[in-house]
Amino acid sequence: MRVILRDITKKFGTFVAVDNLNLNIHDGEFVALLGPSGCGKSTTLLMLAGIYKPDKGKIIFGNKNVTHELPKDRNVGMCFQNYALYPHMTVFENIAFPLKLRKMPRDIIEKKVNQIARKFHLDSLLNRRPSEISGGQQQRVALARALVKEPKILLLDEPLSNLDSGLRISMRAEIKKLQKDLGITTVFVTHDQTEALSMCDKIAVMNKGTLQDFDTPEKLYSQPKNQFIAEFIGNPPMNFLDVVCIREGDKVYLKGTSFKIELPERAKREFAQIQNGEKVILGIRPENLKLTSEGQNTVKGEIYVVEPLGRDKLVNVKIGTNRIKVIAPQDYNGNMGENVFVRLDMDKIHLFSSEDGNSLRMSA
Amino acid sequence: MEQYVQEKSLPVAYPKEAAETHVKRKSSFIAALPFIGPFLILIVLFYLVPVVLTIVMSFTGMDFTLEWKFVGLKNYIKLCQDKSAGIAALNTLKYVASTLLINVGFGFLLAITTTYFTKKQNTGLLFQTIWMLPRMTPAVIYALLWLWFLDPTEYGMLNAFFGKLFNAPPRDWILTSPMPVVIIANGLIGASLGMVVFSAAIKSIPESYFHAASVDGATDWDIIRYVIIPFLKWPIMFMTIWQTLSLLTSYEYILLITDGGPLNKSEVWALYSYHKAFGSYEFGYGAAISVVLVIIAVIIALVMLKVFGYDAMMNRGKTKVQG
Ligand SMILES: Nc1ncnc2c1ncn2[C@@H]1O[C@H](COP(=O)(O)OP(=O)(O)OP(=O)(O)O)[C@@H](O)[C@H]1O
Ligand SMILES: [Mg+2]
Repeated sequence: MRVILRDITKKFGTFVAVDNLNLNIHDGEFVALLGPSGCGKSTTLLMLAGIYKPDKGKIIFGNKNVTHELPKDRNVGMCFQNYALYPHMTVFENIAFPLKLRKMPRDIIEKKVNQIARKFHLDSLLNRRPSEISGGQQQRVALARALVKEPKILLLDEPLSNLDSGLRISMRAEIKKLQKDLGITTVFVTHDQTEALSMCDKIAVMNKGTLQDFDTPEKLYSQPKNQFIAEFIGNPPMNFLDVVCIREGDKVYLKGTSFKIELPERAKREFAQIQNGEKVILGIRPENLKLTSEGQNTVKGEIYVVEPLGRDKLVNVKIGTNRIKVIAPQDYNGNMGENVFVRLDMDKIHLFSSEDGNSLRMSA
Repeated sequence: MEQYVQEKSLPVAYPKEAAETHVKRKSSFIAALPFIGPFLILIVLFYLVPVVLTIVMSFTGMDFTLEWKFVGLKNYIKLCQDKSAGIAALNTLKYVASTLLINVGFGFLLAITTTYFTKKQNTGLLFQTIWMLPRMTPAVIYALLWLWFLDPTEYGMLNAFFGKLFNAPPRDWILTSPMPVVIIANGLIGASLGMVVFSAAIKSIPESYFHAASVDGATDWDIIRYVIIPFLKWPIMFMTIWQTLSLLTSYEYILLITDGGPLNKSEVWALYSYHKAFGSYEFGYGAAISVVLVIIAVIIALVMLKVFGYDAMMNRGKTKVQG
């Protein structure tokens, strides 16, 4: 079922938790709500579930306006960060609870619960209490409870953040597979960009209650619309350097405190709107930087610290007052305090306005 | 989850320290003495000594002459044949059971309305404070308020109310229905305690349980039945035990409002003991009545703790949440 949020605003007192949010989610899509803590993700999800009423705007499921419908009439399944499994009920009773509330006959409830328990490998745990099973198992019970009533929409509020890192990675794949198998429209709240990138079809990036962008992971990663998205998506995060744009005849240069680099043809076309002498912010990802010897279009800096990451090394380099991170091969052996030269992959650079942080890319 | 881990890991940690524990325990008791000492003295002085004195006194025929004349089991035999004591016992049963129902049931109802159904926190708080007022008033004033309220003339508040509304003639409520009066007067003041305890317990249930239940299709009634009551199981049990014991032994409001009357229609066990001792100066007999009450209270407390499990009540009362 498709889900449309139109001009949704939610206030708590005078505090605006969600500001004029517009989202258009297609049937069967897996969408992430991504943003830092307190940006209004859970509030948005609770409005979809019908727990909170928006102060303004419309929520549409399929072709139906459900803005004023009660949670029980919306047929959504929801999974909470703390799982919210009832401690006084067994696993069986927990999963059966939504069906029991619908006054289904006992034998049908039993059949459905057993069926879904088998699917989630919970058959042997049905008589235990939530306190007697592991965190990963509790998570599966919560999912089973959300799905047993065969909802049209699945809402997940940080379902993985209470699991240890190994389990989290395997559950990431499990949930993605499950969503694709069921083809159920799913909204997934997370503040972990890796989760969002690896699991979802599309990501809605939020900050302080406003939507920053709603697009595919690839697009958000390769052409971020503003500095917030650029910094939030990608790990390690993008580097930023303050530069001034200089136009000399045909050529365009970016001039920093200690360097001056030329823009290649493609970048020149992409960022044609930048004026001569305009102050801009240069963004470049650690993987698009390389440590080399002195040469044209390189930037001189000093090694601040080296962090080995296993597969490669993350070298922190001080350039003027800015500090950037560069990914170097595992066998790189520079030391703290040494001078290095950094070469930028100029086709992968991003330029943002120093005033509002918006991307200066023409197509953006 | 948390509890599970605790239970599993405790026995592992224990043997390591087992050898030292014995020595430690003795010295730590001495170390703690200055802190619990004054409290222990108070308990001995004001609880243990009176209990022992009462027990001893119950085997005497002490009267207004205050002489310790030992008479063996005479007082207890008399008690078994005393018709008034039988009435008092029956009244006590009615009084405790009915008041308990109001204390716990009505307290729970108040807690639900002020915390679950009242979305505005301040409104709920204001309402709760108003309910707490009688508890902050001295017992004598509270009793006086009831006497005014139930005044048998047409100027009594309740009579004025019924007169205006149904044109009913004034009634002497205390004379016609003394038990309901003491039950309601005690119940209303007791309910405020239940209300506060249950409200706090309801507030400690994480929001997500209510959200999860509503998404799963629960109505308010379903939420009360399947979420709130199970979460409040321990506070409810605790209140039940506590109120049972305190109702068994308390009599000050009854004394002040009806004084056990008319005749002995609202005489309860504790008040009967008081009347015997300080009304007709049969101190020995009064003490025997008290001793029976102490024994019954101790038995009830032990049985309830056994049934509910003391450990479970102390540990599981906390709302358990993962994460
Ligand atoms: N019931 C409420 N009353 C008042 N303010 C609230 C309420 N619920 C949320 N807020 C505020 O609204 C903002 C958004 O909250 P929300 O729970 O949606 O954040 P979130 O993006 O889910 O954050 P997190 O990642 O920490 O869960 C927060 O600043 C929060 O303080
Ligand atoms: Mg949240």
